[in-house]
Amino acid sequence: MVRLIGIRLGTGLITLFLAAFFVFFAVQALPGDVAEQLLGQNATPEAVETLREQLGLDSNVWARFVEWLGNAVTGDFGDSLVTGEPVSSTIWASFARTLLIAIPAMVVGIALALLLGVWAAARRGSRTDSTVSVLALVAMSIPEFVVATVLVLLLAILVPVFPATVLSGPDASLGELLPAAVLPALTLVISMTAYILRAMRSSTIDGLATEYATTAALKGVPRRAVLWRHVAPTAVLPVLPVISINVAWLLGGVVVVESVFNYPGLGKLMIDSVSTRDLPVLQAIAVLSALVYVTANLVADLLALAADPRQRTLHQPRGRRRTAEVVR
Amino acid sequence: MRTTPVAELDGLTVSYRSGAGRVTVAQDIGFSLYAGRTLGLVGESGSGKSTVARTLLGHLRDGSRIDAGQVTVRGEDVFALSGSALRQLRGGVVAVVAQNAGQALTPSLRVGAQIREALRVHGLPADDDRVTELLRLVRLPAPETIGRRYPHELSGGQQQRVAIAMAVATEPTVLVLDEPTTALDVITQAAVLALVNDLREELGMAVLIVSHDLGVVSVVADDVLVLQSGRAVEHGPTPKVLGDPREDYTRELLDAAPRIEGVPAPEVREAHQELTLECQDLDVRYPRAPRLAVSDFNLQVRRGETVAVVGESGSGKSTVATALAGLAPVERGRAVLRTGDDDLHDLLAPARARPAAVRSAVQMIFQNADLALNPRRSIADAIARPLKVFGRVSGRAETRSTVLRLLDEVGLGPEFADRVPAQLSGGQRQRVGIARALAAEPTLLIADEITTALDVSVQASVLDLLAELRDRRALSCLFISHDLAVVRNVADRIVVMKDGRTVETAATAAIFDTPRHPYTRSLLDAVVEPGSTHLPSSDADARVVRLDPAASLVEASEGHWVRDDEGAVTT
Amino acid sequence: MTRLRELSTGTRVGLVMVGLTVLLAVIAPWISPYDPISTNADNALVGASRSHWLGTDQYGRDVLSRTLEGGRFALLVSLLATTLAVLVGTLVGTLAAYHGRWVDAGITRVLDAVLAVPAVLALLLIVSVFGNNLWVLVLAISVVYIPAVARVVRGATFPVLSTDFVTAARARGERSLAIIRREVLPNILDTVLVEFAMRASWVVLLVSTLSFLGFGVNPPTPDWGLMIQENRTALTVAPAGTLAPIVTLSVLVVGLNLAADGLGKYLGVDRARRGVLR
Repeated sequence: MVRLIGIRLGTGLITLFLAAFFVFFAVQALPGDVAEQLLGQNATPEAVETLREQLGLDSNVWARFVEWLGNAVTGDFGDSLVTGEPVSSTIWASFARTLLIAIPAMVVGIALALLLGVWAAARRGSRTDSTVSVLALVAMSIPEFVVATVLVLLLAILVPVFPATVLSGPDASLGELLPAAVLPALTLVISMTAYILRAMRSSTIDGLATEYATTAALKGVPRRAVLWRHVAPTAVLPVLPVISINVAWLLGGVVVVESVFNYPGLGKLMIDSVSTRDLPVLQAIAVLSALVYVTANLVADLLALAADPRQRTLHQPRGRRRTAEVVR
Repeated sequence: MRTTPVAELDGLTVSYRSGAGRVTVAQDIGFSLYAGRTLGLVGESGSGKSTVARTLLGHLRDGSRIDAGQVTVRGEDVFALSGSALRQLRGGVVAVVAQNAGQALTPSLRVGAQIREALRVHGLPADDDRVTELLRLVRLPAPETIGRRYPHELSGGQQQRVAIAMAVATEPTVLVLDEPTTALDVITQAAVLALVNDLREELGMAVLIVSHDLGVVSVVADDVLVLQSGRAVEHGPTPKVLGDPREDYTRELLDAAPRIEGVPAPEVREAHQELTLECQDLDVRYPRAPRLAVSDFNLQVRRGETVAVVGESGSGKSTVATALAGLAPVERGRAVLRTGDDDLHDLLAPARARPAAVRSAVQMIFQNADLALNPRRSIADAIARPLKVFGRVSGRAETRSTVLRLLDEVGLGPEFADRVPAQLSGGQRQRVGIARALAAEPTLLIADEITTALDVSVQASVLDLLAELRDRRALSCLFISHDLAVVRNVADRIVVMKDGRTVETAATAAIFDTPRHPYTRSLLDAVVEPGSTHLPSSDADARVVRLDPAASLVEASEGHWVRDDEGAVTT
Repeated sequence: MTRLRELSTGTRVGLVMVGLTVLLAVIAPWISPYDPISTNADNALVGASRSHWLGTDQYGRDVLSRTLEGGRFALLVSLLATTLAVLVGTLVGTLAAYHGRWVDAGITRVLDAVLAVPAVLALLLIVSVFGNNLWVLVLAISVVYIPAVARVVRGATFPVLSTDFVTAARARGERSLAIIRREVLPNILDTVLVEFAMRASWVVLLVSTLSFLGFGVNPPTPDWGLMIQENRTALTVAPAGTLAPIVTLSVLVVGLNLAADGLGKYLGVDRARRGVLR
């Protein structure tokens, strides 16, 4: 058990390291000189030289990676090329504001998706089921920026309940942010729910078709108890990775949503940094999202370990052959 | 003489939707169940026996419906019951035990909780004492604590006992057993069947047992109903139906059933003297496995000889086959193959590293013909592949004619060449598997449980084909099986394995006439076949011999080797 | 191969939706009433009329013409990127599964690391460094989706590898690529096809998102994502400028998803459960 957790933790760290490696070298692998690329063709040689020094481009790329990584581990991602401030403080402030929309979206989205998924599966083939399924299909087909635009039209313009944008940028107070966080969070819920819902529905349908579900029903167990007691706990297992990846990829949606609502979070910071080519900030954001991904995966693994008695005790090495199963 | 039946099927006809039309799975089936008596429902796959049995619980598969007739339990029409009355019936009046308990128990719940639930939904007292009592009733070891385990922590036999405890918890009037022992090893099967007999007497239930195996029915059923393609063929008291069948189909089934008792020992065939295969002290271990899968394995196979390796699941018998085919790493030992041209080859290298002559000389036939042929390739393609890889033919025309000749050799017409596996029956697919092996012109044929997935009537014909080919081509054959009765008819010599070790090896007749190892004896005791009436005790599987790690094989009489564990007869 | 009659209604509707959008995009240059990039300041933000069926945008460009031509770039990039991602992903996935152990563990870690950076972020990073020309986009999108395809294909390959026909081929000593090509690929083709349809829908979404954020096509090239970005501020004045590209984009992606779902059902691949990686 402890060993299993240790292995998961180790692979998570390796993934994180590799992701940081890719991010660093994707940026540093610029054709030509990074400094010249960044400053454009009209830059003075002095300016280029200053930037080269600032980026430490004269030293070996591997040495720079080691130094960057060493600092990153302590939370130091260098200084922004644009503002000159430490990257980490900017990022943490933005990240905190992003969590304000991401966490409610996550909680509501996951709960809603699981419930609707089981519910639709239990009524498979009915009108409820097909309505839920069609809505989910549409929700996953429409990009976040469209959902956001439509929500703005409905709930900020036609029926002005919530603000459509944050006007005062990063200086906004919590009182201003809270109402502004509703529509972005709602957008994320809609796009995230669809995938988890479909996975849960599908997995529950499989669960209802298992022999143990049949056995329970033939034992006289009421249908509701078969569903929630016998089927759901096992059916949720294959959905856990779906949830974890959707949580991790929420950050991708955040970029779009924050851009539409001009919400001063991590995504907005990312967009701004891309426009200004603020590479240290971009690297830091990419590493941070990788950290979220790895954490989400780890949590899903641990939950699976906690929820599935088979995973806790199964130590047998897997032989190449299946045991002789006779199906008649 | 008889009391009134507790349950009755009358003129029952069931069909299911298939494409645009309907297919009848059961046609005009009728029988009665009586308290304290067991009815056996026998048939091959597709006979509709499970469908019929489950109607007693008011259960039909999706898309199925009752076209005619009715099912009555204690005077009530089962399919007319309301939702809550039906729930009362299920588990309360009629209980079912499914084929594979590993899949029938909910993986996320402790087994004790599942038994408790069976009691609770029917409003019965469900305290720990009652659960323990039930676990003891089904002869489970440590009944006080085993309820706290999860299903996957139990062996297959223990899982099936839990499933039975769950079913009999409410002391139902009717117990339906749907192929309850098919997934179990032979010793466990016998013990579970004995348990079923004990419980029927203790609780006075009416029992319906569904099986494809006439032997199983023979030891537990008072009456038998034989089904064929959804129709009742023959119905009567077990000794009468199995001893003096009226119908041709019943007779065919009985003839095809492999037997041990009452049949003459197979004649000793003239064996060639030169050895095809010789293994010495083989140890096989799967990557990163803590234990050896096979240890100290010794084997000699002569030309034209069939040697059977027999054991239960986990005995390492299939690992031997896999290792000789170069697909499992051999840790230690020696294995030498003599090919047709008297060349000696080392058989320890993995398949990739073997010279072509060795790869073609050792060919495998697999257990599950469904998985042995690529579903996306034609039969001709499958057989032509080894021809090409080993350079047996050149040119398209020669390939084609060779494929057709091989098909003919395994009893299939040329029309099969361009079909895909899905268009063939299980037996036909197994023949294609044999043809594919023959295409490589092997010296040694390894047949791994090749009849396990087949119906008995098909099984017999495949075995006949194998024997014929072996004689015609002077093939050496390593025959892996869990079934002693099957082996008796095909093997010249037998190796009995348990826990990765050889416990006994001797000529076929010697194994059956004078088994020397206690494990071999308990295997033989546990065999049930048509006409058997005797079963070992209902906890026999918990008392199976343990092997002494210090023991070794000794030659008790000429050619008869036995491991000198406690209870072995070495003189 | 696929008999149309056996496909479900949903699948057929989906295929028609996709076919229609693709057809319009292909023939757009010949049927567009106006030049999609010619501006006319006097005629900005007019409503629907006989001369401009869907009105004009803030620069006076014809919305209908821009909508018709607005899918060309996204469709081209999507087709190229999806094809590349599915081809490479299939190869990587089968090889990882076939070789197992260290090869598999290594490949899986690398794939996981690429997956760890959300697609939008990764693309923004790449585009900010390499610019946004067609081939950069195609390559970048492929790289972002290869891990997801590879993981799904790898998962589909394992059950095939444990079948006895693969065992038989191994025992014959056949080489890995021959086994993958002859025995494995034909049996995972269903998964790969469904992957293709599904990835295509995601890639279309990703490309439009990129354009919406201002890092896809360069203005004034017509593109649905870009059009929505440009016109949404005038949503109340001239809604057609935003709604028209939303409708076409939705028709395309809903169609792709319907087709992928139907194809999956027809081929027996459950994509709701397996195809979870975007």
